[in-house]
Amino acid sequence: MAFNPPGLPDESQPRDGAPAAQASEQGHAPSERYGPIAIERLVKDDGRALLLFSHAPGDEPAGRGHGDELAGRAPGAALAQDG
Amino acid sequence: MGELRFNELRGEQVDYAIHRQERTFLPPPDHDPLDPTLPGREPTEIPVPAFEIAVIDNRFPAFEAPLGAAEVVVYTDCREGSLATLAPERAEALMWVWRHRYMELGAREDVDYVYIFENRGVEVGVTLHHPHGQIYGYPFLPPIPALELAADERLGGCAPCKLLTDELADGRRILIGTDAVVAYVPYAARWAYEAHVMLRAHRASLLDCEPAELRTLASVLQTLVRGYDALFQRPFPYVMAVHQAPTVAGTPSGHLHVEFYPPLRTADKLKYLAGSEQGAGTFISDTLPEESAAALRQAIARAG
Repeated sequence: MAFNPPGLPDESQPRDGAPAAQASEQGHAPSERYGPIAIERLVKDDGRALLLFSHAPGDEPAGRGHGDELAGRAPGAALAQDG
Repeated sequence: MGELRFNELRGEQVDYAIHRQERTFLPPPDHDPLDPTLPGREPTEIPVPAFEIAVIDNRFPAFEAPLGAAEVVVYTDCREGSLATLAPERAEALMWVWRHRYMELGAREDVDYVYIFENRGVEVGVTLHHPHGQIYGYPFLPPIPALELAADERLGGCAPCKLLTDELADGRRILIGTDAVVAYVPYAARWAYEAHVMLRAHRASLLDCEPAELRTLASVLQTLVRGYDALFQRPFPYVMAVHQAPTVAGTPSGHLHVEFYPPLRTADKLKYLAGSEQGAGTFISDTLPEESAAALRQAIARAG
């Protein structure tokens, strides 16, 4: 069985052609696209993240090969058992 | 912030998230925290007047950064309904939302396993009736996914692939068969109406799925839940567990599948985890999987 090790994405790179948006001071960020959905990122008053997803028909959805979306994550991230 | 303690006797982590004792418990409909915030009304968890699917950091997290994550996935801004009653396009979009969250949470150094799940019904401890699921980002590999990886080693390859092959060859427990996705009651089901929804092709996670596979997965999940609801003519409680590959490097791959654990063994009787299940770890079942599968097939046909 092949193992495709997942990994750390480069946060500076867009995924699915969408900008790697971050929440603005107003709590909103520009809408991103991910496959057939649009994503709006907000930050609530208490600091918790809120993502709003909506169907955004029109574009051809991204297909397979997105296993590399996780590519590059460093090994050894497992939490050491405390026992 | 919770605290992890390692239970040496069981060889497993226990998460102490004592702040969850205060979480919202079965609020009246007009205080549904997962409703949209309507003009002139009390603000809810979601400060917009309408939405399709929302994902929010859990207000009462079992895990949180820098040791994991806990999110709530709200399927709709309507407090009525279920996964089964979503429009097909919404259910398909939900698969993409799951995929997106698997990607982002799985990329975090403090998340080793992304677990998407839904608790449905007070019988399994649901505290909010608004249609929603949850996602936990575990900072370690939990025992059940670890057991599935151990099964891969024991069987000398992908265990879900082998089990699906066996189920298709037997055929008696198949519930739904499509080109891409199959639902069945497993040969050694622990719950009376347990069902597994399996991708035919080996897909480690949602990230590896073709768009058409995601569409079919959504459709099969909805068909199965409609069948569950038709079985006893009542909303069918269950735990729905999405199993995928761990996201920590250095662990072998998994095989995307969705497991349903319904606690009902009849229309009005629950299966309790009692002496044998809790103290010895051996399920005692009152129902043969072949008979459950036959009943579920009829229910799925009735549901249409």
